[in-house]
Amino acid sequence: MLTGDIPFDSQFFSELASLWDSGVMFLIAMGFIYLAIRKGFEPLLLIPIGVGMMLANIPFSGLAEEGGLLVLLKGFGLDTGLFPLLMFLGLGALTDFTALIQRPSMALLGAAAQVGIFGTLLGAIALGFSLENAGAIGIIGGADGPTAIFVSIRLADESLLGPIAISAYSYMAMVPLIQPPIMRFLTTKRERSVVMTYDPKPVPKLVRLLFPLVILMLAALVAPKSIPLIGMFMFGNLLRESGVVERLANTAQNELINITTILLGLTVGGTMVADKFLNPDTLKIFGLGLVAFTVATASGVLFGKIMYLASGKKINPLLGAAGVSAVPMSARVVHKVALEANPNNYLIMHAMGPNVAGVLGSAIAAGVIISMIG
Amino acid sequence: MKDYERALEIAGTGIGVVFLALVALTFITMLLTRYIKEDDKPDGGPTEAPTPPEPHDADQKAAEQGDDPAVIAAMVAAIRVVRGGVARVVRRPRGPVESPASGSWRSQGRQALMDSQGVSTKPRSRKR
Repeated sequence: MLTGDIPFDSQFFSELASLWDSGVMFLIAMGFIYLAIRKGFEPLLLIPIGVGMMLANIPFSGLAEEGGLLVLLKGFGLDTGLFPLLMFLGLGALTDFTALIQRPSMALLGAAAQVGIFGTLLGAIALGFSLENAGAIGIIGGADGPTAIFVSIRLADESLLGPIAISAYSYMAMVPLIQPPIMRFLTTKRERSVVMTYDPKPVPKLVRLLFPLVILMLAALVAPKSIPLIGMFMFGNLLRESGVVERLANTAQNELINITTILLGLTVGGTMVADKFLNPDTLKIFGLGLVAFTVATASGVLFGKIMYLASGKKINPLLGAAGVSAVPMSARVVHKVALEANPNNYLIMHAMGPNVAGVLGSAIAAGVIISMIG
Repeated sequence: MKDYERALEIAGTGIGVVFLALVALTFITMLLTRYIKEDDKPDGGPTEAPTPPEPHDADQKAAEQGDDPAVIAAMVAAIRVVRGGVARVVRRPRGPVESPASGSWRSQGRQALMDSQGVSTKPRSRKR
């Protein structure tokens, strides 16, 4: 009879299983770090996230327990929404609206690509997520990491924050792989070959200064809950365009955004402990993330085709794919696919317009979701 | 089912609001660019163009002496050589023999400067 002789009780097996789970999380974290270093997939985020995951899953370290560093950072920067907002401040200071001001109609393409957000929201409901969680998952389609984190903090279960953030950043890194097949499938070679000449009209400084203020007022009117994001974004942009606070603009563009990136990545990684991450919901979120990017790209390109026809075949429909606000990755992808069709077709400057409009569109969509669900 | 209906309502409202905001932005931007004309310094980028470096006093002297830009360039080079302002001379491949123009300007300029300042044309030794 062995039953009485077994020295292990159920607690031992439970701890053994927990160690096994931690080992799996370690492997996943190493996978992220490998992808970042060897493949260049969003290294600025995936390295801090990977390290945060490793630290959080070291047994008995106490880092991810009450009073631990990762928990303190989470309370300070994530629960309050501070880190994503500071990221938006830095992104605003880095964003140049020139291309959008020179050709304002490109903003419509930035709106069309946001259909991906709402399509994914419906998909998440169909897969059994609650409305709150579905709203946070849907925002992955905005292809904007800080926005996805901001909405997740407001709406989603804490266990979903890590998978949503990882999904958003991973698919942003994979935009060059995801978008081109969809773009080629939905357009003919003739459409992709449409050459758009770039005529850089000078933009008066007053327009540059008024532009962020106009966006702020519009956002306040149509989606007030988006003001934390849009407000910080426009503040950063005003620092840049004012021309009189170069030191502050430089700080927002460099030191501030770099420090926030480190802390945000580490903290998001720190939320990804085994018992919250290793479950079927994580796989569903990754699947929905892919759907989100696909629908966003497709809706942008299809709207681009409408603009192609409406403009008398003068607008290249590929520009619609740049409405996915992975700045500047999706604009580069548009440029590259257009060059494949016609080696003399340089779309990068045209694509930057819908690209920055996409950032605004996803922030407004986030505001709508928060106000209607939160 | 209730959640699905609510999600459909959110999707419809959300797409409408995003389009409304960006259509409004399009029109307002069109109006702004139409009615606000270029200011004194049209901005090609967010930061102002770097101001050119202060002209070297030798450049100014040279500019005052003649109108021909080639002669001015030669004079400036000569003054810098005389003052020891050239840290090192980079040897470049010789140009084709048929184009002696810039070389002759340079030597003429140097000679003219030396003549005007009474500097010896003989090789100089470094002062100690």
